[in-house]
Amino acid sequence: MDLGFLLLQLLTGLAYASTLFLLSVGLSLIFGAMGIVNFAHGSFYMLGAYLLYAFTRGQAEAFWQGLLWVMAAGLVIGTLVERVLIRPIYRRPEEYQILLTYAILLLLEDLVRFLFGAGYRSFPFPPAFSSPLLLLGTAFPSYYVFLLGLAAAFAFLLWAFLHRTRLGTWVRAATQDREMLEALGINVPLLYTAIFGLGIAMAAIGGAALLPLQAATPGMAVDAVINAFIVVVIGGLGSVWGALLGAVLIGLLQAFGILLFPEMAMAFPFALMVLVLLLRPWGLLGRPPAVRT
Amino acid sequence: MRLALLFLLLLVLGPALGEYGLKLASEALILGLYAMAFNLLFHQAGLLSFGQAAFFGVGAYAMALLVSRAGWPFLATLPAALLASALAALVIGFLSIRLSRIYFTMLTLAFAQLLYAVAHKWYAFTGGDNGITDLRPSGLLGESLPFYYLTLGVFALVVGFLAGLARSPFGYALRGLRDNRARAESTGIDGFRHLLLAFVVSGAISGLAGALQGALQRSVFPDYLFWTRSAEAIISTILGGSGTFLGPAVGGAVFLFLRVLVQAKTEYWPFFLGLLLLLMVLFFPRGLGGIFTEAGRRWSTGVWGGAARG
Amino acid sequence: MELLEVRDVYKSFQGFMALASVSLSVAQGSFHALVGPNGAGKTTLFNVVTGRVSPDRGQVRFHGRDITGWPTPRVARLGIAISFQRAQPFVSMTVLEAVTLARLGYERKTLVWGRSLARHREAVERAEAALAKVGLEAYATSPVAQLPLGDLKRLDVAMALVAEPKLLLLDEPLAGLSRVERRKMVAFIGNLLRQEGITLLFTEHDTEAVLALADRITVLHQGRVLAEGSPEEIRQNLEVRQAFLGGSI
Repeated sequence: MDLGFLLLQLLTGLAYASTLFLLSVGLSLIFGAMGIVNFAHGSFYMLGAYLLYAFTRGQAEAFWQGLLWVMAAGLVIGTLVERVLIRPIYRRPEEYQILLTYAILLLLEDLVRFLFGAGYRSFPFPPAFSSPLLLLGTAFPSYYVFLLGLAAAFAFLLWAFLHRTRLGTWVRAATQDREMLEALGINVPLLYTAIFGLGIAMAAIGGAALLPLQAATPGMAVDAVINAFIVVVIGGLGSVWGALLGAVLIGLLQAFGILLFPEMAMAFPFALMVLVLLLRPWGLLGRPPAVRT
Repeated sequence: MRLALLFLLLLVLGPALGEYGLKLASEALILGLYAMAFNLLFHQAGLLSFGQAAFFGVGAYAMALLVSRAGWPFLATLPAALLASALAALVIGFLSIRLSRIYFTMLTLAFAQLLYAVAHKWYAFTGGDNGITDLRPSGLLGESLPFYYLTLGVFALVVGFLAGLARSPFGYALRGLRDNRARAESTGIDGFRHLLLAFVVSGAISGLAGALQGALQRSVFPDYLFWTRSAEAIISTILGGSGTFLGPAVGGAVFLFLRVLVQAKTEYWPFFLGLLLLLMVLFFPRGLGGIFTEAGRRWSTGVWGGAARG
Repeated sequence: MELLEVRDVYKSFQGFMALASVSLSVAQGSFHALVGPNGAGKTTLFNVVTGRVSPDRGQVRFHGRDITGWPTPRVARLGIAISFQRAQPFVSMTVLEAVTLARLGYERKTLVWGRSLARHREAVERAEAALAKVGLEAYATSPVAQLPLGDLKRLDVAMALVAEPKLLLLDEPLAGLSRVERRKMVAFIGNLLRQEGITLLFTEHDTEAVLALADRITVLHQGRVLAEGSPEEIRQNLEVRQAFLGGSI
């Protein structure tokens, strides 16, 4: 096994981790700040991919515009969903929130199937990244560079947002103590809408960014939300760096797992999650709870 | 007891139904079993499991493998299916129950999907995508009417068992844990053990339902383990109302009825399902049992015969 | 003989020191009060004793036995019963059912499903006896959800009584009650527990009640023991006065 090949696997894993990060960080923030488990989170990831396809009509040149449109659409859709569907159930017991987002998952899956059919929708690399790069004698898609850059950019932007802006500080406060926010006179409903919209938009971008690498199919939503959840569990709730770390771990695990044990590869992220849950249930970069449950 | 009357009714109804009617009725009973197993966890224990399909599927595959590969008679596979799914529930439950609610729900979903992926890929053992087909229960049970009576009998036994369980100290302990876990544990009740036991019982019953379904459909496919199968138990329960004892079973029958209707007109059943669930959660969280509250209350007190409404 | 001993317990949550070097001993048969402002660590201390929380350092001894870090069900079976501040026990049941369940929980008979709850005659009788002791026998078949707060607290005490406790922990038993109800509750607790020979450790804000009921008082402030002594001693303690800005005590 030569170094070049290993490098290729490494980069593939990291590229995949990039989209996984975009998907998962939204879930982590939404769950951490609002306490809502969004089972439909993977559906918006899926929607992002399909929307990119629809906006660009499969034309690679329109990729950049398409991506921007997807980001805008994600914000709008996220805001609408939060306002119309999520807000009424804030005070309801957890089960109902879970069931509601589960219903959304069902709806979106079939909606996508209705609009785009059940088959795969693929998309070529955008022209700027269509030729492969050469490193250590191995060719790999230059698109990987874009993905890594995208994830890094968003990670940095998110960090800056959370730690350097007032709104971001409120979001961080929300992940720690929700009741305090109301006492401080902050418009909590508006904050929640913003968080949800942001989380969904990031998921949508993640899905869109993934499209050139992996064809979209209606079934990707459930696998995506499970993977996102695994990442969030491993990394820790409400932690951006946790989501990044978790995504990288899972991405690498997948990439190398397929090499070593192709049939069992799918079980590895899963096994890692179980391990983390047993040993450090609040995640690698999360905060432990106070009282024993 | 009203339960006995119900069963008597279903018993005499048998010969009156045609071939198709018997198949439908059997499937409704099976779905009812499956939903009630889910509700044992959801309503009594306060656990929301998104992975009941795992046990439904394990039971089904256990039956299918024993019948097709080992030549077992169908009836003998039922206890095996019970045991297999109970074991699966023990393992999955042991890992999942220690976690707080949302993690629990997610983990059950993840486990079920994992099993689905295994069944899908492990071609040699499970036949992968092609499933295990041509399962025909031997002898008399291959006919619709006797099979219906078998299903009815199993249903009656399980329902009786669940009713007894709900009235027992165990049932009360579960509800105590659901109402106020800290308080229950401070009386000496070991929460983990109780919830695990409930999870195992629920899984076993789900497996039994799966085995019966496999025999009814004469085949078992990986989709028995797919997450939409878990959704069926949940939606049936929400539809019928988790607060009433037989609510989930009634919900299952209604669900089946709706599915037959909708699938005759369109292939977008999941969309309809999602919409239904959405509306139920937003506007009718108590389900049909809640809508017809008066009738529901009378029905449930009759069924309970004086014990607390769960 | 000291029934309960807490020795040099420390507990912090994510950098916040909830308890520091807290020691306490409760003599058998006595009524011991734990007072202090909100956030002083009273609830945390209770949680440490009952096993809901494990201390970072220190020991808890019951009857001379080290029970540090024991899980709650195990602690309960030793004879330590706790009644919660937010007295909201099993709202889906009737009063009698709740107490019967508490008894069966103590007897470790809740993993059985052979007989219905109602048919566990002995447990039911004990439950009825406990209800009689707290004066709730008339409400046996009432749903718990319908009880007013004062009765809920009595129910909670009944549920603790069926477990034949040697030590009863009451977390703010008077919270939410009117002045009249408080006096009644204090008399009720005092009489009942002396009658049953149960040792009591309780937290309270109501100083009048504390002085009336307690044999001994421990004052907690910001996670540390500020003072300990008889009601008289505490009342005259300057430090305590200062900590509470000369107001209540």
